[in-house]
Amino acid sequence: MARIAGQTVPRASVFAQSRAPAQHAARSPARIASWIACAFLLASAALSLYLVQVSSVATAGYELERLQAERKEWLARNGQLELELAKRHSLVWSESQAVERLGMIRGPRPEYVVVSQTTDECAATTCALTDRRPSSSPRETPRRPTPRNPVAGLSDLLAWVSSIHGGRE
Amino acid sequence: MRTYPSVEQTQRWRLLLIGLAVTTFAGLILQRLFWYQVTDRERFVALANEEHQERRPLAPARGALLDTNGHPIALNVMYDAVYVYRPALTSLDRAVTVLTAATGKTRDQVMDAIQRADKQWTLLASRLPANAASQIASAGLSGVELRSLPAREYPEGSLAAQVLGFVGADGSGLSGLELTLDDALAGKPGVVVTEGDTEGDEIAIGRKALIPPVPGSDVVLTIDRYIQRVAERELDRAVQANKATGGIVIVMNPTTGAVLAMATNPTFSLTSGAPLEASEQQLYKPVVVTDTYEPGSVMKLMTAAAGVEEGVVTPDSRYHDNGLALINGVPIRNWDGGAYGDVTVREILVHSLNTGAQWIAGLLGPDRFYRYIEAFGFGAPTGIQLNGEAAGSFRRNTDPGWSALDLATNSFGQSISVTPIQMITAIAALGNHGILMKPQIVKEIRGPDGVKRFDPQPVRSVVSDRTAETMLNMMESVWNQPALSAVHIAGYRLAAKSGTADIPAPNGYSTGKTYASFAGFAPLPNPRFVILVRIDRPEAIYGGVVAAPVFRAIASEILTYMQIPPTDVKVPPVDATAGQDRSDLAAADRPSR
Repeated sequence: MARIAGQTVPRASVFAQSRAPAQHAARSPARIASWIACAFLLASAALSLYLVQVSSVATAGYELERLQAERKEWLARNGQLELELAKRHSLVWSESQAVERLGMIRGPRPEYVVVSQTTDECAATTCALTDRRPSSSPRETPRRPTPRNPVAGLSDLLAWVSSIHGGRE
Repeated sequence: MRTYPSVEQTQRWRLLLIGLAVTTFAGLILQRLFWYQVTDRERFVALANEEHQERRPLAPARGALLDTNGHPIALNVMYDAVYVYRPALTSLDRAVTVLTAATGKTRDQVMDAIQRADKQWTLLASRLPANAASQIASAGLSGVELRSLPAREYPEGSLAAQVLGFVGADGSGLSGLELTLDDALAGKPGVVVTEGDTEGDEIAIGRKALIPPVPGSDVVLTIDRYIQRVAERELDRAVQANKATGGIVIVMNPTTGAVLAMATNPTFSLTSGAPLEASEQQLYKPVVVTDTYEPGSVMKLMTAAAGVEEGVVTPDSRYHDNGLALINGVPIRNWDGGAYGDVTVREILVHSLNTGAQWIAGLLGPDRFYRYIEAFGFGAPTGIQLNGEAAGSFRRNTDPGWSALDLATNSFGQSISVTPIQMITAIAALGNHGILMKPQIVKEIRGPDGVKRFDPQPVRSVVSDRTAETMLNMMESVWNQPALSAVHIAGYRLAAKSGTADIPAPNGYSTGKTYASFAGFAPLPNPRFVILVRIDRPEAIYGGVVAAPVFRAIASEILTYMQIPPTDVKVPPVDATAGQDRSDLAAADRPSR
């Protein structure tokens, strides 16, 4: 036990009371300095971040303006090309090209031929005419041979093969 | 004994005064701040915004006008215009070199323009193609600015100029459909609000508010560009060949009332860009709907239809024509002064007898006659989507001053004024089972909110289907008369009626000046189109002589264009073994020309 100002206090308490202010005094400036440093760093970081952000926004803004201008230009180009296309599809241009460049002249009135729909009418009138082809001779194409009679089948087979080759033009 | 305040008291008072003064001053400042910030806040906010905010209107893209098949007839295209300002030019030589190459102007022209631009920004060239604008922009010249401006373009040239109309420098419609449909075509302007710096330049990171513009709608017309072109070509030829002062052609689908072509001569150029002289500015109006005329004998169709519908005559009813009818002492004669003796109603139409028409009107009486005239749509606007439509006029039997002479002359198309669109609409009813349709020139509007279609609108049933069929039959007789054999189209059945109307003058009618007209359907029995041709003041005065060939030329081309086969096409004879090719058969079947 120790005696302090006539009072008896435990030794540990004396040490504790005598050491605590000293430690506190020793730690406070460092702690404050560190706090200030941290705050400064944080503020710097925040400001840097803000500056970076502002800078990137500004850059993006200018980029946006540039892209918008470019878009407008492409839209204008597109419109002008559409006009050019419309002019190329116009009757005036088609007619002038047909007459001046290709030397075309106005044709006579078209001729219409009635094509009957029913089989009977078709056979009787114009279907035969429309189906007529210069190369389609009345020669009958041999039927494909069946395997019933080998000899006859062989001759039929030869005839069939020759008809395939001969029929092509 | 006078007592003095202590030092402490003096100090206290002084502090109190200073405090009071500071408080008062602070109070005044606070009051002022309150006034700025709260009481009159809006005004100061507006003033501040005015200083650093810029509101730029955003013009919407104007919609296009398309023909019935979607081909553009008028559309907006953005071009760049280049402006120069001499004081801001840092390198004159370089600027002149770049601008000369880009604009296609000579060096002297560019120099002149720059010399003139010493006080303000001056336009050097407009409608620059995109590559030229890009060339200037990439040069980065100070004192040279590019500005995008819209321009109205017409890929088909001046096709249907009076119908389309034109737009002003600000892009708003001033005549024709451009004016009538301006609300739909123009769209809604937008606005962009930006923050600017002290130089007035936009701050890239500033606040920006954007209300985008709503683009204008595209309008699809009922006009078919091919038919319109054919109509204009044939009309121009006829006007020139007949030394006429002008004319009109309208082609209409009788079952829908859709106008397929509306040609006028003279007209104006959509592509020249220069405004017309004051004396010629009447050419801007669509005369097909704005101007009236006396139709002449074409009106006999309405008189006969009313007579047949009311049962007072049939196609075979007989009338004795002695070539003269006296109405209130006024003689009415036929167009050729002839007397045709006993004629039927059909023959009255074939020979176009004025005396016969007034006879039918007399049988009808004024009440019934004018009821039909009004039912056919005369005396009231048709409601077509074109501005400035005239109603036409005639004196009804209830109007003061009306006399029996009015009834007689109205029956053959005199003393009555109609617009061409009224006339063709009324005739078209005869080819549509007697149902009068509202004429239409707009098929649909394709806007940002969807497509608005304009369906055919029946107005009323004027005559019965049977009467309409009878009228077509009688009109076919008119078409088949020998006098018109030169204009027949082999293989097709057509129906028509000619008209020759004297032109009113201050004291009666002008001599030798007529409106020669011809109207008809093709093909029968189910008409696909009706054509009205009118040639103004031709040298040869008669409709059957002047307007009928135009009708034939247009009808013939439309029949081909619409791929309508002839009705009396002959089936080739059966000859299965014949080796002749198809061209031989076609030659044998070819109609005579």
